[in-house]
Amino acid sequence: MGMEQLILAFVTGLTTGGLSCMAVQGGLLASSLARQLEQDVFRSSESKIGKRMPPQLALPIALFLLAKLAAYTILGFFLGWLGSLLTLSANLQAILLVAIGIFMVGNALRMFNIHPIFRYFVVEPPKFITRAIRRTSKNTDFFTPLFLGVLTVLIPCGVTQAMMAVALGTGSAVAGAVLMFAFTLGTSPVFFAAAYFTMQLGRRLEKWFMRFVAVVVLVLGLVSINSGLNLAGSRLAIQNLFQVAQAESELGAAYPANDGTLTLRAENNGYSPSQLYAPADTSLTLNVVTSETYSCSRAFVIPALRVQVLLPETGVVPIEIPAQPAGTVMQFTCSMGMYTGEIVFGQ
Amino acid sequence: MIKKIYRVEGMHCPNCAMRVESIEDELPGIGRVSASYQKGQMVVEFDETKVSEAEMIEAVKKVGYIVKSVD
Repeated sequence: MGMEQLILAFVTGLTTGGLSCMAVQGGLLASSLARQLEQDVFRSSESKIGKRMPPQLALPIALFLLAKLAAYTILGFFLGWLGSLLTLSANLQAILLVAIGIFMVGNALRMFNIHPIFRYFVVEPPKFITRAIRRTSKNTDFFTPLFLGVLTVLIPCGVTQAMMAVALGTGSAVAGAVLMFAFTLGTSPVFFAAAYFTMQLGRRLEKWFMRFVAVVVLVLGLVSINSGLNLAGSRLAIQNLFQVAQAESELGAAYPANDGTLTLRAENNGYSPSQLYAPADTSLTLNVVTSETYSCSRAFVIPALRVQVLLPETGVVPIEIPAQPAGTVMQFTCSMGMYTGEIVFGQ
Repeated sequence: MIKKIYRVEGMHCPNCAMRVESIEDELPGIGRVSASYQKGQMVVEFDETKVSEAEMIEAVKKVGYIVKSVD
């Protein structure tokens, strides 16, 4: 693997990767920072000096990113080594997204102090670890950001998945590790800046800040659950409910061409048109077109058909759709459930 | 050594439990303190001849938490 490919991986991380990952994994970081802020706010409120100490945000963010960097480097090592495992299946990712969403919503309710039962949503490290941490470094909670940073490996964003596929293609453990290291390192500055300034701004909200963080965690949790529902092809996802309501008036709806093919454009901000119409009881070809597409819309999934394709940045990928009975509504989505659309089969 | 369970109020996160456990480094006669944020309690193993309950409760108060009741 040449230096050019490494630089490309780093620049991809620095540009699209950082923001894309922040959208997907920001919730885990927010949960991690929420813990740190809880301690700092509580400590300063009990301080007799009366001076509010600034929350130590840089350290937990740095720890989170370091853990993430290490975890993805190890993942790259195994991907390069195995060379066969492509991505987590769409169903498993959907379950993970819903589970992470429930974890975050539970944590937000815990922060609102609604009921002691929600305390069980927090990850309590084993006693031997807390004892070791306490004896080596008093007053600093290293475990949570480190643990959650490692967890990001379970919810890679679309751009990361694309890079994971490249790591697979290297066919070498060391090359895979170096590639993922370069990419993840590239995502770190954007991730750090976005997280740090968001949290610094929030600090000014003073006594309402903990509630503000809880609301952010709550919203991100709900978004994660919704993404999981999208990825599972559920009609309960918000976008799908909305699409049902506007189905008949969709201006961007598309019909098959004379040769029986349907064309869908996977763009950086989603799929266009988001609604396609097809005749029932006839098999057809869905041509998914990309043109300088770098977002997670490249990781294309049709849950009902168990289709999971990583589209090229520019190109056309034909997908065979078997005949469907009239009235079938087939969902398609990106692998993180962020962008969605559907094919409606009629007469 | 005897073992007792105490209810602790004011813990906001697992790190608070870690701070409560730090009293085992501060007082003589304490074998092991195991605090749980989830259960809102601490289990203490201690030598009654070397440390009193009042001293333990005071030590917990110093790190910011209240021992409300003794089970």
